[in-house]
Amino acid sequence: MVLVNLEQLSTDELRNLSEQEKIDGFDVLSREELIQELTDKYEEEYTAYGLDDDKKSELNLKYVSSFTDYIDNSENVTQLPGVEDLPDHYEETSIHLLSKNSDWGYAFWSISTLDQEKIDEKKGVPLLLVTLVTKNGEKECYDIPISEEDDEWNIGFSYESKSILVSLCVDYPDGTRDTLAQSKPIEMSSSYWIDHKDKMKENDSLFKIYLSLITTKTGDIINNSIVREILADYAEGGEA
Amino acid sequence: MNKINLMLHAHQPYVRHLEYEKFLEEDWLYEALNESYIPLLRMLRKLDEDNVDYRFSICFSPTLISMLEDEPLQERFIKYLERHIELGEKEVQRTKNEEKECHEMARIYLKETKLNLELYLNLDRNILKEFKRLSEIGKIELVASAATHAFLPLYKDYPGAVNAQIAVGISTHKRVFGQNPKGFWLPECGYYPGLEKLLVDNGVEWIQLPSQSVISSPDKSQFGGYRPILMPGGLKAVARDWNLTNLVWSDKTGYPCDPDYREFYRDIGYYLPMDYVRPYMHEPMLRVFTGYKYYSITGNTEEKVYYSPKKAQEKVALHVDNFLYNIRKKGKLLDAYGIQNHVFNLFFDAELFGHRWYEGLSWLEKVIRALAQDNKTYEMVSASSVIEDDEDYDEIRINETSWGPRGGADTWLDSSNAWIYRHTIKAIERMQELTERFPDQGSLKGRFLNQASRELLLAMASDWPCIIHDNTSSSYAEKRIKNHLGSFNVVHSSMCRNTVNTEWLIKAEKRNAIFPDMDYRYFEKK
Repeated sequence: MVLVNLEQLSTDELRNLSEQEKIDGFDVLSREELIQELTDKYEEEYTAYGLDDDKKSELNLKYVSSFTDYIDNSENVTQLPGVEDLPDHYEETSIHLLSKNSDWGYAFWSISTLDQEKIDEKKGVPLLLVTLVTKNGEKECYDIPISEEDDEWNIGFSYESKSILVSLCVDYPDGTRDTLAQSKPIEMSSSYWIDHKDKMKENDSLFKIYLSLITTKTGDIINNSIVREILADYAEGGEA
Repeated sequence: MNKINLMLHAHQPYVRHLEYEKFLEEDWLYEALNESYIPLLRMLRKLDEDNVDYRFSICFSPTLISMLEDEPLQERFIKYLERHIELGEKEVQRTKNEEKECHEMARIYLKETKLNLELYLNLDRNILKEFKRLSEIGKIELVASAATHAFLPLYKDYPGAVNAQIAVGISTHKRVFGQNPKGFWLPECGYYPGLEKLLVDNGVEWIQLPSQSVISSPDKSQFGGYRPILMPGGLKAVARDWNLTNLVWSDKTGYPCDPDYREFYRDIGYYLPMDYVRPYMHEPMLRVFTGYKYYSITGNTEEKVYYSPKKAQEKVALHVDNFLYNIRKKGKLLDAYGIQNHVFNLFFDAELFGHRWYEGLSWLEKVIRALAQDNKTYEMVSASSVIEDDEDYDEIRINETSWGPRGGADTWLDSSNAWIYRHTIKAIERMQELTERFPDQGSLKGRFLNQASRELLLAMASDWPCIIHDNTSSSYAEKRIKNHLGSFNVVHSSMCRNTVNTEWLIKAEKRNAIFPDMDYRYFEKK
């Protein structure tokens, strides 16, 4: 697990790395050309892995790029009857919702062949129904249209929600809706200080103590959306 | 008085490929042993010889424990050291005539590697025994962790699986160290509300939390993370001091970034002729780190200057002073704000010291000596002692959290690795079905189910999604997940037909020889 910035490497190191990566002309390319070739190669791999631009910029480029050809144990596994490779989907209708952070969740689902046939037969249209309960106890719902090819979706969260769940549904031409599966609900975070902005002013000393735990010597503060919101309110004077 | 609760976390994923003569990813373990864990023990021995008092906590993850006590890996580590000593001797000779500026460091590396081998052999190849001894005399506190370092919040809908991670982690700790752990290191500081019940049910008294968990709590924190926390269900916690740890940890401004410190990346394995370094490389012709590194960080430039141990030690002294200054400054601030009996909770990866930051162990040793010398200003404490001594806790609940970016699961759940959970969650559901269908299997079927549990726990490791996220050894990580789940499916398919494949089982038990006291019923629904 080794990461490095290519700019830091010597020309010899870049040349050795390029040879390892089977880059044409590794022995004649200039330093700048070697860096460019390696950068292009790794960026291709990042793209293949579906990393977005934000994440690419966070990452250093990798140095040790190829590893021992790991011989897996598939030989032992596939010789047995009834053992499947990992499928794209499982033969069931289900949906799961995982919490990525306080702003985003990740839903993934599968539809069994039987259910899919029924949907096709009745010309149903699949969709996700997001149900959230607000901190005031009100229930709110909204639909997310999906296509037959979709099997995952990022769901935006809101601090105003108390809990959230997602259902896999089908709308039929006759106006009816079937719920095929429902995720378990996710309980959302709550923060004393976001809910008590009016008390921030009178707790100025306490905020200085809080800040002393989460602030670096260069003034950077831990990147967390709830912390950001609390501190933005605090900076504005903590008015409710 | 400034209480310092230093906690080191030593973890490596379970990598053991005896089917190869040498296997690159096994080097993670050997590098950590040679550059961090054994030098740490040597440093602690020096402190003991000098009667320097110290206290800190250290967590060895169960996968690392399993590898450290694995005889074939112990044997391979000795071969690794012998190869490095051979290379060192060649380097001492080479640097007499060329790159003479490197000669001093070549001798130092050779000497250190020889000392490591000597100590390793003296400890009967098992460093855990020495850490156990240190805990028995009260110098260190040993902390347990989850079986395979799974990121627990992503499995919160499956308390049985989370329980298996906790219970196997604790049983491994008890078996190896012969004691009930009070503390439990949450992998990646990953916490979710409700986890405390499973932890308390397994006898855990305290956990560690990331720093932002205090200010963002649903309740008003009175002490801002500088006193122990009391959570629902009676579980205690200590919150990481990001301000102080970042003085070391930051990859931009941390002490290890100093230009006079040794450059981690410039290693002879990558720039000396292949013919010279070939015996120490991996087949086929794969250049790797050798540990012989002669340049200082210098700056963001190709033109690195040769490393000077003397200059580096001068910087170590400065950085020790700076660290202590910052502790004292914070202590005064907290005193001024009325936070009495405050404690600074400093959590680090153990591998940072020595492996990634070559001078790190020297820095740590000097910090410990300085803290011991001025015992009116500082007190090194273990986490349990802080918790037991303090009667005035910060009673707050904690939101779901981690020490990852944005305080969430982003590293372990993104567009590159989200596919994993479709399969691990299905395997957990199937495992729970098996525990219901076969609630009390001994003998062969029990062994079969236990192996399924091992494979599933290994598939749940947070290392694989993290590696895929970082795009370092992605193909290896993917294969590991698929193989463990494939092996799990062998058991599931066979047990669905009420059969056991003995030949496969024996092979699988040898291949993944981990957690000998596994009990598949840990996975029962909760």
